[in-house]
This record gives sequence, structure tokens and C-alpha cells, in this order.
Amino acid sequence: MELALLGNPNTGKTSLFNHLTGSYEYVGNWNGVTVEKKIGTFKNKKAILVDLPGVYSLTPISEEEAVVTNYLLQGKMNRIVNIIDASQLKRNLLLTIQLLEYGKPVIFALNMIDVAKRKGKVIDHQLLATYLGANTIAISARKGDGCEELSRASIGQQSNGEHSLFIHYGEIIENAIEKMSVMLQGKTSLSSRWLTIQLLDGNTTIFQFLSNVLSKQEVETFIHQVTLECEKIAKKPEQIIYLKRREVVNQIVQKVEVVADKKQIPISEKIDYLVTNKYLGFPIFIAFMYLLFMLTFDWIGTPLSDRLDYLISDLLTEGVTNLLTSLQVTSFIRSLVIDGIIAGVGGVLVFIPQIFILFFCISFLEDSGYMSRVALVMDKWLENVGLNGKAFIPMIIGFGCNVPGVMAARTIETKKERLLTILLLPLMSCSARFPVYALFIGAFFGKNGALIVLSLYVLSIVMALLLAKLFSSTILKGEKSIFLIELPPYRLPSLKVLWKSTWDKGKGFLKKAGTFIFAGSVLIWLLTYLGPEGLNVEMDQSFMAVIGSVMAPVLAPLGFGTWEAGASLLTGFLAKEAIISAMNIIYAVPDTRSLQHLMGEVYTPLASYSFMVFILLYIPCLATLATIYKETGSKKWSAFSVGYALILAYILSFIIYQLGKWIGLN
Amino acid sequence: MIISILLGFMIFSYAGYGLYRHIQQSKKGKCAACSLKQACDQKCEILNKK
Repeated sequence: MELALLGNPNTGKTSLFNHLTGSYEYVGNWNGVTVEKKIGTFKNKKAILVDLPGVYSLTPISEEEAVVTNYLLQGKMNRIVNIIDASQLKRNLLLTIQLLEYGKPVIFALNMIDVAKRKGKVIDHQLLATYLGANTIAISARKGDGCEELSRASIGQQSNGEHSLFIHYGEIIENAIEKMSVMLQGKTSLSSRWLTIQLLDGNTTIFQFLSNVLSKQEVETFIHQVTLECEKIAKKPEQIIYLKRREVVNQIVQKVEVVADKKQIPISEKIDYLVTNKYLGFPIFIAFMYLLFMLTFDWIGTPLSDRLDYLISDLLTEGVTNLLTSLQVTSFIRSLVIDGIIAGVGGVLVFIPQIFILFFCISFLEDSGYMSRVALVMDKWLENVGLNGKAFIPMIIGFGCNVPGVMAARTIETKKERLLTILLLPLMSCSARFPVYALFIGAFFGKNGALIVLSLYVLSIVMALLLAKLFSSTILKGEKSIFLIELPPYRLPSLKVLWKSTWDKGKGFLKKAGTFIFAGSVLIWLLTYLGPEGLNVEMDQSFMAVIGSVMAPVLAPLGFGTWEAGASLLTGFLAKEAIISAMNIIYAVPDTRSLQHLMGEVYTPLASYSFMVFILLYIPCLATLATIYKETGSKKWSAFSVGYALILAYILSFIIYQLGKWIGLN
Repeated sequence: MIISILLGFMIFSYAGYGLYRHIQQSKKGKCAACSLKQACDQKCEILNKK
């Protein structure tokens, strides 16, 4: 037996899917977490459950909505489980009606009764069941309450749906349904009533389906005739359908929903009033980011990093040195392990606490529902520069890693806006750049660290906005799309979900340290050990120095014209974390503290800020570049993403350093 | 000396393999290069269809 799980976006479908099937899919407090359908088996193995993307209506606007109609057209499922958000009953029932018209047995899962209660609404679910003419079970998808009962009811005996809610759409539409039923006789097993209503409602997928079953001309003539009939009463077919549905829904809601206190404003709306406020929205977002960096650098992250640094540099290095001595290995191997691997990998690993705290905070903001509000706040800004709020979601994802950010840009409808978002995404400061900031913050900025990092993030957003404006008014002119976002209810994320989300994001970083950073460290060490003169040369005579020296004069006006800076920047193209590994190896220091101390002698605070800005913007890493190429399918745009970033980074670092020097900050 | 050779061989082989693999995976782009690929429920093949 096959059951389909359907409902509006963000009604808890994926949570319910997880409870019914026992699987663990990612649950997000975003719209559209389910992009394509997912299939799971009920815990008792008696049926399979198909989780479909959340839709408001079966009439598709985007591709993910067409997935649902296409699935229904296959007609494979035996029953439908319709999840309804009790706090948004009116909107949810509009989809419910369309599902009932489909003709297969439907069972209703009434979710978020607690949210409705907080909004002052009490739902009589027994009465709702009577009106809908189908089994309705109150559940809590997050906690799992009622899911057992729902599971039993879904698989057990059920009526065939003949007593379910029936809407009479008026003579014109009903006659049309009858006419279509005759035309479709023996040609499809699907409900001709459902097909006709969907067709007249403007469902393009149904139009294509019927054009194949009948002929395109026949279907067009049919629509034309019905439209002419409807025009006699000065309406369009879809208007008649919508108005009738709304009327029925209003009647039902009036009967089943008791609003306790209409005057009381729900707390969620009170918060929204503040956080999406025209003037306060952006400062509040910045304040949250500041808090996030304070947690990461000042309050928790750095003290933990210091301890880890002590563990790695003192205990581990000492232990490994003793072990290697007892094994009587050569000085070459000893140097490779201590000065190459431990320095390179350890140099990155000490920043793991900061990275995890950053991910934890981002996961918290995402899961609490706040990030959707940020997208809304940013919408006004983005609209002025030729994008819209939707583009900000990939950008937030890009704060973790640019690669999934570039891929998330697929949700943007117009080609121009998608390309623009992809091109600007590498400007978002991914977590791999974080260790570089952490190193310099520790060396130069101490208590003001959070503010400095915040300034870098703000700079990246401001630069993205300015360039979006520049590109959209010059090389990337084109159509605009509208931004629609549903604000999910606020919730306190559960620790389990938060930990899973943080771990999922962070483990990639750990894995990379054990694989690529390890390999990169060996290579970098080898390049510092070998030189044109032979083996075990002085660092300044090594191949690394030769390579870095080529870059040094170019970088001099930016405040960091050393071969060490040049060489470490080169490694950053492969992966941004490698910059830190390279610095640890090149400067040949035993631990991060010593490196920070040394940085204090090599760089000035102004030069270090200029260096951080350069790293923030200078180039997408290889993985991001390859993803940009795959997504745009264009070598020209991929090269452009590297070219403009390099020019931007150079100009900005130049201005910061030279201007800073001029006003005496050096 | 044997231990040194053995250790050197192991480290350089692993590093060579790691470097090669990283570059290959990165060059593939998309999900192959994505640090969230294990956790992402949208899965590459689904996105590829769109």
C-alpha cells in the first residue's frame, strides 16, 4: 500500500514523516525543505509513505509544486495523508479541498494545535472531521503525540471517500465537469471532476496531461467555451472556483474554530513587529551577529581554543617527539611530522571550537525561524540592487560553505537573478576563512575581536549589494521575480536537532583536516624543506620562498608584501583553511600562541586587517569555482567570478591600507 | 632507518592520495565538493533533475 503525505509548506510534514517511518531526515524551519519527494516505509512495514514538497495549492507556480501534481497524475497511491496546520486553518483547507476532489481516501493529521492555542484559537477536530467527511486526528509532529494513532488509522480500514466534503461550484462549472466526464470516458482512471476543476483553475500540468489524453485543440476549445460562459457573469473560471472554495472554507472555519480573545496579539507577531521593522530589522540582525561573534571569540570559543592549542602544541608534540626519538627516526621524518603535519593540521584544528560554535549559532538562528525574517528584512535592500530576499537564503548558507550556497541559488526563479546570486556568493565569508580571522584577532585585536569580525561580515554583505547593483545595471539586466516567504512560527530548537545540524556542518571541516589539510601540510612542508640549492635549505632559500617572492612586490602596497604572505595566499585557492597551515609551517612556530606573537612583529594591526579583507574577498576556492562552472555551464562566468573578486580584494585592501596609513593608523 | 622509510612511505602515499582526491572531488564541483553532502536531504541527484 502506498500513502502520500501532503500539506502546505512548513506544517511539519518532514517531522511527521520521520515519526511515521522512523527515519531521520533533516528538519528545517524553512519553507521548502523537501524539494523533491522522499519515500519511507511505515514502522510496521505494512505500507510505504511518500513525502512530497509542501504546496499551498495544486496549481504549480514553481517546479517543486509541479512535482506534486505530476505525482497525483500517476495515481499510484492508495491514500493521502493531509497534514493541516491548525493555526493556519483557512489557508490549509484550500489545499485540503483540492485533495478531497482528487477522489482517493484522505486522512487528516491536524498539527500545531498548541501553536493555534497560543494564538488564542481552539479547534474542534471532531467537528472538523464531520465537515470534511474523513478521519481527522490531532497530532504533534514535533513531539510525536498522536502519530501512533495516525499510523494505525492510515493503514487500517477506511471509507472510500464517498461521504467527504462536496463543493457545488455553480451551474457553469458543474456543466463543464459533466461535459469533460463524457469526453474523458474510458480514457483515464483519474477523477474527471478533479481534472476539470484543476484545468479550469489554471493548472498547467493538468493542461498538458489532458492535451495528451485528448488533443491540445480539444482542451483549448473546452477552456475557451467555459471562459465565455463565465464572462457572462463577469468572472473568470478560476475566480468562480476560488470564491466558492473560500466561501466553504470560511463557513467551516467559523464553525470549528473558537477564537478566545481576538484582541490579544500573539507573541510571534509582537516579535515580528520588532525584528522585521523597517528601521530596527537590520540593526537587530547586526546585533545578533555581534552576539554570535562574541560567543565565538570572546566568551566561549577562544578559551576553548587556547586549551586545545596547549593540548596539541605541548602534550601532543612532546609525546610524538619522544616517540619518534625512541624509534630513532631520521631528522627528515621528525621534521616532516613535527614541523609539517602537526604544525599544519594542528594549526587548523585548534580553531575547531570556534567553528563549531559558529555553526551552532547559525543552526540555532535557522531553526528558531529567525533567518526567514532576516531574508524578509534584506528583501528591501536586495530589491534596490536588482535581487530580492530569496537571494539572501543562499548567502546565509554560504556563511557555512560557499558550495551548498551556490547550489541553493537554484531556488531562484529568474536566470538573471540566479546568475547574479551565484557570482556574488563567494564574497560570503565561509567558515574556512574563520581560522584566519581567529589567528589575527588573537594577535592584534583582543577584546575588540568580535567587532572586527562583524565588520568583515558586514563588509562582505555591503560589497555583495554594491556589486549586485553594478552588475544588474550593466552586464546583467533582465527580468525581476517576486519574493514570497512564509514566516514560520518561532520555536525553541531542540538540542538534539541543533547538535545534529551543527555536527553535520562541522564534520566536513574535521574530515578535511584529516585528509586534505594533512596532505597539503606535507606538500607545503616539502616545498619549504627543498630549494634550488638542495635539501634542508634555509626557509628563505626554499621553493616556497621562490614562489612567494613572485607575489610579494604585487602585495606590498596592501601592507603584506612578504613572500610568506604570498605563498600562503596561493595555497588558499585549494582550500581556505590551508592558509593557516601554510603560515604555521612557513613561520616554523611550535603553537598558535607563538604564531600570534610572531604575527605581532611581522604585521601591523592595519596590515593584518587589510590581509583579512583580502582573504575575505580574493578568490573562490577550487571547489566553489568548479561548482560555479557546473551551475552556470559557462567558463566565461567562472573566470569572471575569479577576476572580479581579485580586483575587488586588491582595490579594497589597497584603499584600507593606504588610507589607514595616511590617517596615521599604522 | 627501516622505520623512517616505512613512515616516510606511508605519509607521502597518504598525502599524495589525499591531495589527488581533494583536487578531483573539488573539480567535480556540486555535491562532490560540498561539505554538507552527507547531511543534505536534497541530494545531488534530485537537484540534478531540475
